[in-house]
Amino acid sequence: MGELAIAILGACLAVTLAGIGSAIGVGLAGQASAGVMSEDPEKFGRLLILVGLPGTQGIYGFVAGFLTLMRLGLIGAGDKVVLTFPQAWQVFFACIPVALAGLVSAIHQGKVCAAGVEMTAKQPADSGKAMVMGIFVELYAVLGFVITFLLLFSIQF
Amino acid sequence: MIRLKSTIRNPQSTFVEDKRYAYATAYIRVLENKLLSDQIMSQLLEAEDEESLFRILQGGEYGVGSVEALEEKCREELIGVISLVKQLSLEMPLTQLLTMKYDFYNFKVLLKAKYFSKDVELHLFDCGNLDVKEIKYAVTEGKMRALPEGFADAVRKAETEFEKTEELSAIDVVLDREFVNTFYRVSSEYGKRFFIEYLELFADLSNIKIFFRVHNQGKDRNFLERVLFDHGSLDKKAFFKPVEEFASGLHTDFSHLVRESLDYWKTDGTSAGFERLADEYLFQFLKSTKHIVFGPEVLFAYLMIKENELKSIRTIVSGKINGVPVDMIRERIPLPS
Amino acid sequence: MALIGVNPNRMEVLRLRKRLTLCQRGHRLLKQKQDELMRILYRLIDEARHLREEVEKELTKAFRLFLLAESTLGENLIKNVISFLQVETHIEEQEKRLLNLRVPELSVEIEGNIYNYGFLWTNSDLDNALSLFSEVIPELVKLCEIERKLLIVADEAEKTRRRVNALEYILIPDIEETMKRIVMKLEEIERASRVRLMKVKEIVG
Repeated sequence: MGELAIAILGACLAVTLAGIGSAIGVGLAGQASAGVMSEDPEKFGRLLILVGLPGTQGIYGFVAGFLTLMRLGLIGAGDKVVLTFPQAWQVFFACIPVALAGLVSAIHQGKVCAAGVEMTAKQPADSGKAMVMGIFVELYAVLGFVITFLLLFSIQF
Repeated sequence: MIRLKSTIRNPQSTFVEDKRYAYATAYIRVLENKLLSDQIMSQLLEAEDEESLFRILQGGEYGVGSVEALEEKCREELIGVISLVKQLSLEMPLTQLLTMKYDFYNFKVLLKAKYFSKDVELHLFDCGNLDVKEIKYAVTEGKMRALPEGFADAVRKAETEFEKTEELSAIDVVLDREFVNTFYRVSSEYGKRFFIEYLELFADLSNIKIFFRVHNQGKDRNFLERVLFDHGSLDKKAFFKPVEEFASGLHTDFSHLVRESLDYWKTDGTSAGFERLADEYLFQFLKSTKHIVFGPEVLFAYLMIKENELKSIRTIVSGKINGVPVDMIRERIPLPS
Repeated sequence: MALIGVNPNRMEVLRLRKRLTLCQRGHRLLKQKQDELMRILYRLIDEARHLREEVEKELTKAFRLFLLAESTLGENLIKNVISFLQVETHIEEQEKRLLNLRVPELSVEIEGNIYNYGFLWTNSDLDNALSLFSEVIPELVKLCEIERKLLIVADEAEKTRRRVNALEYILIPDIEETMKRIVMKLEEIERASRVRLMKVKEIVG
């Protein structure tokens, strides 16, 4: 059963690392927007998206973890898959892109978004630009997730 | 009228971002947006009469109807902004750096009152880091043990110096110097380059201001040596020269300020021109904090710029109302940007 | 025009004549004194005006600088600088004689260091304002002295003018008139006695 443990470890990493990244990122952006809103509560609408952006990595991680569990047959209607040792590692590594890309990109996206929050505080009209900057960072998390997704579905059991 | 020609050196300090200050930085950014723009300042300067002065201020933070109300507002704003930055500060050294000035000021007043022959009304700032009552108790009762490190020492030094010279100004001189020294010590311990560089620049510019004023007051070299601050980048020896020689021998980033204000000093006999240029230079340095995403430096810079704004508003309004010529007022208003 | 109530006789005329010469001499002297007083008065007025202009100019400058210092440094700081100043101003008054008048002469002495404060919380405007004030105080005292003199001299000139006028327009004309009347009266008496004499001669003759 050691094989299954390795595969589950991969799923766990995808969820936790991406989640940690998102938590840090959202935390930063959230702090910054709280700072802005304590003086200027009307900006809530503009700031909301910026705070939410770094949260997506966590969702990608969660989805990747969920897909892994499904592929392993731990949840859902299908039969439990019996893994060989190489297969277990394949699953593990498939999970890594979303985990690491999510972790790092979420933190940095948090910074970009916090800076964007500050920029919005100064020039409310430019909140759109700040969002675009944040989305650029998002791109790499998405790339990581796509690869994880493709890998998970290309592993043959 | 001289204006800054060249801009400041690029901040050499590499800001290390401090994520703990995300909230504070964002908060300050909003407040920075509310600072009066240079445009409003020059509108105020050009206002025709009292009525239009207050009309320009209407709708903003300073929307009041009378000079007294404005004075009161400025006092409140100062107390407010200091308590705000104190709240936003997350570390003791930063709080000290932000408020130390006022603590030292209170010490000065209380010590002078202690040694002054007459009873005087005390005008203290109730916004320092130390409680005014505590300082009062410590100074009048002579119980310094309760004071934070550095203060007790500074007070003792001031007392010895006073006993030696019998001049109240000696207390000012010693405590001013101790303020600079303590600021240096705290900022070095705090480890942020920005504060150390600020202090260095502050000490240099203050020393040049002092240099001009000592010349105008007709005091001698020994006196100058006694009042100059440490921790500047300029060697103290550079100051023991006649004014023109000093100006031409200066080779720093801000030597052009001295040379530009020299003519003005020669004709008008006042260094107010240099004082404004020096303040503007210092503000440009502080403005380098706009590149920081998160960091305590933003708090410090905002406090300084806000203090200047309060000062400028007061100067413009009371100057205008009392019929001081516009050029004379303008010469005293450092515009941060 | 009032007549001086006297007996119309020659003795009285002689006495009045003496009095008249005395009055005329006094009048001449007082006139000279008045001229001198006016001269001094004009000189003082001139001096006072110049000095006042100068003092006002300097005071305006000093007050402007002080105002700027006060508003840039803040009320607290200025109050603390002012309350701890260790400067004492001594003003001494001496009496001097001008013509026959006693006029005051003031001397002023400023003791102590006017820059009795540190550099960090103060600026050059404060320095300059205080130094201007300390320069202007002796001038202000001088102005006060001149204006006081001016008052005394003006008062005296007024008094002298009244005396001169009294002599010129009342006393001297009165005496002259009285003398004329007495002389006329005497002549009248003479004529009367002559007529009486002629009448007696006629009766006798």
